[in-house]
Amino acid sequence: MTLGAKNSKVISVKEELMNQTEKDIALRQEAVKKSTEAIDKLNDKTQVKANLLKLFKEWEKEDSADSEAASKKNLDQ
Amino acid sequence: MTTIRSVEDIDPQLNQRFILDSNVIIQFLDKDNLYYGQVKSKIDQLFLAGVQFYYPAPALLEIKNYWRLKELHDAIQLAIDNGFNFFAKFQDYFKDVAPKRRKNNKYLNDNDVKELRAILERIHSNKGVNRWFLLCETALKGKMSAIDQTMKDSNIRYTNFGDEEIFLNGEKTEWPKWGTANNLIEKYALASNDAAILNMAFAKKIDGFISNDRDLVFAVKNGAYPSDKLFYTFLK
Repeated sequence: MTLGAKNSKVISVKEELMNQTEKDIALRQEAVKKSTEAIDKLNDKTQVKANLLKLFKEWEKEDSADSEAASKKNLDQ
Repeated sequence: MTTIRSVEDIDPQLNQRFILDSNVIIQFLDKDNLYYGQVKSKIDQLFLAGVQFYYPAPALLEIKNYWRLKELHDAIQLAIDNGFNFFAKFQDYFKDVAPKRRKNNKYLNDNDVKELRAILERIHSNKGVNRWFLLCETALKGKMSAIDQTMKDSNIRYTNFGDEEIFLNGEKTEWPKWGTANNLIEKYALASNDAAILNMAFAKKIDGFISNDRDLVFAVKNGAYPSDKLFYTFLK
């Protein structure tokens, strides 16, 4: 192999490594973005709060119906 | 003896491998945690610099347990904040214990949960117990699988003894041994989960361990982790 051919091979290997590094950095940046989005989603409490408040309101209605029934029963007695 | 180093002093190397303790991952995931910002940004920064992070199964179980207690705490707090009149004894117990736990950057503990359930059972065996389970179901629905998915989508990889890259392609003598975990429990009285997680970081292809557990830091200071390994913490 001539010196010129050797040099050009070294350059192409170096370029390939640089491309590989850039690709690896891009992949890692993408992974961090995906990870951050997943964490945001895990911490989002909008739906669970709505479901819980709905449940609490149902219980309030139940309790109020129960106490009305109890007062009526007391009055009847 | 292994030196305890600050995470700030990590000199990241490409493909350097660290096992993360469950407490670090919890702080990485929970935005309400006092250390979330610090831990999340450091782990991301090190990952971008080429470091690989791993967690074993016992860490995942601890993360799920933490989230179970957090969601139950938040659900009861939500009821109180919105003026919903829970059974008075139940609310009083919660109001007594919850601020104490939050002072330690935690939520409820297992005993608190058992006691809260028992209070409801004592007050009203049918209505109280039914409401307890409805509360749990509504607060926790889908959360455990959401944690699984978050970890899959995160930049922290799951590892186990079947992991070809870390364990199977190495010599069998390089694998962690359950005997080591037993020794950690017997010699340092570590919790079995802590010992099982640290045990994975004994593997030859793992460079070190990152933990914010003071008991573990104490044990490592006293020889629980080999001196040729790296041990880092966010703790001051």
